[in-house]
Amino acid sequence: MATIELDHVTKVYPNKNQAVSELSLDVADGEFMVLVGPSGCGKTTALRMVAGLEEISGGTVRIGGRVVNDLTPKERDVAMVFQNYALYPHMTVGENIGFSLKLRHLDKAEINRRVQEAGQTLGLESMLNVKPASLSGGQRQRVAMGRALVREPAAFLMDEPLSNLDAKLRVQMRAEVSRIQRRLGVATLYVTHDQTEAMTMGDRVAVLAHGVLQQCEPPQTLYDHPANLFVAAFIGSPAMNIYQGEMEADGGEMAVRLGDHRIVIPPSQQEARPALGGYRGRQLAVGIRPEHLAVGHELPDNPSIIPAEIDLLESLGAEVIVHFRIKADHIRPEGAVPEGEDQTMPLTIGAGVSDKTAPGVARVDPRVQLKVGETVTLVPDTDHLQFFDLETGAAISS
Amino acid sequence: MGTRSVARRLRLPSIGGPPPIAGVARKADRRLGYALVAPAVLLLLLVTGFPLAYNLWNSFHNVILSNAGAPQNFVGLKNYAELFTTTGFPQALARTLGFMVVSVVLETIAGLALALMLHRAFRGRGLLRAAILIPWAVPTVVSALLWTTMFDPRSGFVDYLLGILHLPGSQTTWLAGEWTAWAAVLVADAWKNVPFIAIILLAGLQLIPGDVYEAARIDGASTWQSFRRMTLPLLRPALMVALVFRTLQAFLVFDIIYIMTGGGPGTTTETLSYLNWQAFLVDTNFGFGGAISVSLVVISLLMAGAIVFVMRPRT
Amino acid sequence: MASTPASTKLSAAVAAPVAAAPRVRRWRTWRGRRRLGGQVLFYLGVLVVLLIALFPFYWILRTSLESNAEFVQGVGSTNGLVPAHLTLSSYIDDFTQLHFLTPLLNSAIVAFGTTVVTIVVASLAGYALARLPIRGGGAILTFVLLAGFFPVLAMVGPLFLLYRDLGLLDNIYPLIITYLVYTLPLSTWLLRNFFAQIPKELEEAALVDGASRLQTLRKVVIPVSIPAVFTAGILSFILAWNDFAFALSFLDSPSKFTAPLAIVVFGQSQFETYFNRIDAAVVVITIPIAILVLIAQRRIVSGLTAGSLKG
Repeated sequence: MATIELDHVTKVYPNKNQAVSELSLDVADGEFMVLVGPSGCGKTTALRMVAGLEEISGGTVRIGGRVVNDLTPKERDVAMVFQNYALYPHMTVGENIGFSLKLRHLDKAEINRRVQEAGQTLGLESMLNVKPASLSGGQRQRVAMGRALVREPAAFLMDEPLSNLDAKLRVQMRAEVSRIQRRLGVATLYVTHDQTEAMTMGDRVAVLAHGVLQQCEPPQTLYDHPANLFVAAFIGSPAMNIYQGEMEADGGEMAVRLGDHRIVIPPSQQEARPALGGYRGRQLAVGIRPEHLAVGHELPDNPSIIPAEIDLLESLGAEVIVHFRIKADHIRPEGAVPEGEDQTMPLTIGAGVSDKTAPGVARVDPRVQLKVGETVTLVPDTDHLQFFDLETGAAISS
Repeated sequence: MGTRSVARRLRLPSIGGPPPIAGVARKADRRLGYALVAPAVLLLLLVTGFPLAYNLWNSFHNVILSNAGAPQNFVGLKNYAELFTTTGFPQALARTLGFMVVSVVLETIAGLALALMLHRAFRGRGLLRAAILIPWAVPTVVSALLWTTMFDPRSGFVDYLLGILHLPGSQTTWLAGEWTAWAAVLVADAWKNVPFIAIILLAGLQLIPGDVYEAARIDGASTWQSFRRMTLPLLRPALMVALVFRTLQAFLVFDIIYIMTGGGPGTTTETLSYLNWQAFLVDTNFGFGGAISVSLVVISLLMAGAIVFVMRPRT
Repeated sequence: MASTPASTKLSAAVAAPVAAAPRVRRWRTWRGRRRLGGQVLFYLGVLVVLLIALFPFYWILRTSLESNAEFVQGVGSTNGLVPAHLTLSSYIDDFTQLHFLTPLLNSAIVAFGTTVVTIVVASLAGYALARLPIRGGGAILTFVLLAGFFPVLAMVGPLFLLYRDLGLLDNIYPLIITYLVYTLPLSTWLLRNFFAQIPKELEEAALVDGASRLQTLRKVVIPVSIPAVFTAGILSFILAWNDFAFALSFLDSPSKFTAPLAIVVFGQSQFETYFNRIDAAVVVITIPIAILVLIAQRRIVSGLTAGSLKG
C-alpha cells in the first residue's frame, strides 16, 4: 500500500527561518496530489522532506505506513523527478533509467527488460543508447520519468518538472505526466507554482502559503469554495475580483455595499453561509469570479448592478476579457499573484484615474459589442458571490 | 573563533565552502566525511606535523649522529643561541632575504608584463603560452643545469654572445664570483618562475570585466592611469596569491643553489635552506638543524601571514 | 517586402559612397603609423619572450650533440650556434656507461605512484570537504593548503631519521608518500572546488535512486569530474617529477637515484664537467615534460588557477 502521510511536519532552518509549519496532508494510494503555491511557500521544502533530502525539524512523515523521518532516500524507496531533470550526463538514456536497478543488483536481463518497457511507454525506445546531452527538453523530462517507471517505488515525487519547458510543450506534457502517473499507480506528490497545472492534473490540490497549508481539496472545490482570501485569489485565471464591502446594518433583505454600489445577497447565499448574518454593519471582503459578471449596456431590471468603465479589452477568440474599473476598494491578497505575472500591473492599468476606484476583470461572450472607455453595466451573478472575513481572511460560511 | 570567521576576516577566498548536501542520516554522513578526509590529513601530518614536532624536540637536545656515543641530552636554547653566533646563520639570513626581495620584485614585474602581453588576443597566443609553460614545468634541476651550461665560460652561450657583441665580461666564470654567481642564480630562478607568476596574474586579469576599462577611457583616463587605478587594484587577489607563493619559494630556495653553486664561491651563496641541509646531512647535527628548521617554519608562516594581511582584498 | 524601384535606388545610393571612398592606407595616417608601430613592437616583444623561453633549450640540445672533443674546445668560431660535428655519443654514453635508464624508470615509478595516490586521496578528501557535513571543514582545508607551504628542508632531517629507523633509506618507495606534500594540497583544493560546483541535484538524484554516498562519488561525481581529475593528475606528476631535495637526502646508491638526482650526481662526479653529457641527460628528462605541456597546456593553466582567485 503506497501512501504518503505528513503529520504536522515542520521545517525550521538554522537561521530561524520557518519554511514549513505544521503541514498535515494525506496522499492516498495512487492519488495525484499537487502542492501548489507561490515561490518560497515551502512546497519544494516539503517535497524534499518526503524524499529525504532535507531534514525534518518536527512532525512525522510516513510512506506506505512506515515512519521515514530518519531514513535515507535510498531506504525510503521513493522515485523523484527534479526540476532540471538531473540526468547523469556520462550515462546513456538506458543507463540513466536503469541506474537504480543496477544499484539493487538486479540481474542484467531483468534490467534490460524493464528499461525497454519503460522506453516504450515513454516513446524513447530509439534513444536508449544516446547520451542526455543530445536530447530535447521534453525528451529529457521523459527520461527523468523513466527512472521512476522502472522502479515500482513506494511514492512518486515531482519537483516542478514542467517549468523548464516552453508553453506548448508544457500543455502536451501535462497529459503525458498524468498518463504515466496513472500507469505507475502510486501515491504522487507533485509540486508546482502554476495553478493551471495544479487544477488540470491533481486529484486533489493542496495550496501552500508561507509554509502553511491553506486548503486541500479537489480542484473544483477549491475553485468553487475557496477557504480563504489567498486560495480565492490564487486559484483561477484570470483571478477572482475581490473588493472591500460593508454589510448593511439592518433592513429586511441582506445587502452589501461596495463603494457606491449596492448588491443584494440572495437567500441561497444566506442559507449556505449562516455566519453571514453576524456581519451586519461590518466590513468584509466580497469576491466574484470574472465569469460570473455579465457585461451589458442596458439597465436590466436588477437591483444589484454596478456601472463600470472599460479600461482594456483582450480578445481571446472564444471569449473577451474585459478589464474595467468600478468605484470601490480593491483587495489583492499578498503573494496571491501567480508566478510570472507582474505584481504591479493590475494597478497600473487605468492609473491616473481618480482614487477610490478599483480594477476588475470579466469574461464575456465575444458577441457583446464593447468599446474601450465606455461605461457599461456589470451584473453580478449573486449566487456565486464569495465572502471573506477581513481580519482572518477566512471564508465566511457556517 | 572558528576558521570560517577568521577566513572571512582576512577575506581569504572561500575557505568555508558551499553548503554540503543536506539530508537525513546527517550523522552517518559526517562520520563518512571524517573518514574520507582522514587519509589526506594523516598523510600530510606525517610529512609536516611529525617533522615539525621532531625538529622542535631535537632543537632542544644535543643530537649529533656523527658523534656516536655522545649522550643526547637536553641543552635548552643552546642550539638557538648558536644560530646567532658563529655559524653563518645571520649572514645566510641576510643573503636569503636579499635574494628573496630582489627576485620577487624583478620576477613580479616581469610576470606582470608577460601577463599583460598574454592578455592581448593575438595570433600565436596559444603558442606563446605553451612556450613559457615549459620552463616552469621542467624540473628545477633542468633549469639549474641548463643555466649552468649557459653561463659556463667555455661551453655557454652567455660568454659567447658577449664575445660576439664585443661586450665586456666575455671571459667571466660566472659561478666563481659572488655577485656573478648570484646573477646566474637569479636568471635561472626567474626563467623558471616568471611564467608561473604570469599565469596567475593572467587569470586575475581575465577576471576584470572589460567595461571597467571602457568606463575609464570615457572618463578620460590615460593608459597608465587606468593601469594604475583600475588594473592594479583589481589584480590584488591574484597578486596576493602570486606573492605568497613566490616569496616563500624564494625564501626557501635550495635546489638551484645546491646544483649551480653548492653554496659557493666559499659560502657566499649559502641560503638558509642550504644551511639546513648542511646541518642535517653533512654535519648530521639534528639539534642545530632542528633549530634552523623551526626558525624557517616560523619565519615562513609569519611572512605568509603578513602578505595575506597586507594584500587582503578590501571590498 | 518587395523592393520597389525607389528603394533599390535608395539602397544603391547608400551603398555607393562607402564603396567609392578610397581606402586609406594604414601607414599613411599618423595614428595608423603609431598603431602599426605599436603592433610591430608588440610582436617583437613576443619574439623576445619566445626566444628567452625556448632558446636555452636549443642550447642544451646543441651542447648535447657535441662530441667530447668539441666540448673541450669550447664554443667559438667553428663551434658556434651549431656544433661543428653533430654526434649522439653523449646520449649513448649516458645510457650505456651511466645506465641513465634506471633513474628514469625510478622517477617514472615514483611520479606515477604519487600521482595515483594523490588522485585517490585528494578525491576522497575533496568530496568530503565539498559535500559532507564535517565540522571544521574550513580548518581542515586551511591545514591542507598550508601544508603546501611547509619548508621542504625542515622535513628532510626528521624524515631522514624516521626512514633510517624504519630501514627505508635508499629506497624509492617512501618517496611516493613523501612527495604527497607537493601534490596533495593543490590537488585537494582543485578537486574540492570542482566538486563544489557540480549541481547538487545530480547527487540527490543518485541518492534517491538508491546510491550510498560512496557509490554516488564513485559512479556519478567522479565520472562527471574526469577533466578535473585529469588536471590534478598532470599537475601532480609534474610536481612529483620535479623533486630534488628529498631524493638527494634519502637516496644513496646510484641504482636508486631518481632522474634529477642522477643527472646532478653524475655531473659532479666527473673530474671535468662534461656538459655535453650532462645536457644529453637534461634533454632526455625534458622531452616528456615538454610533450605533456604541449598536449595539456590548457589544463595545466586552468589547474594552476582553478579557484585560487574566484575562491
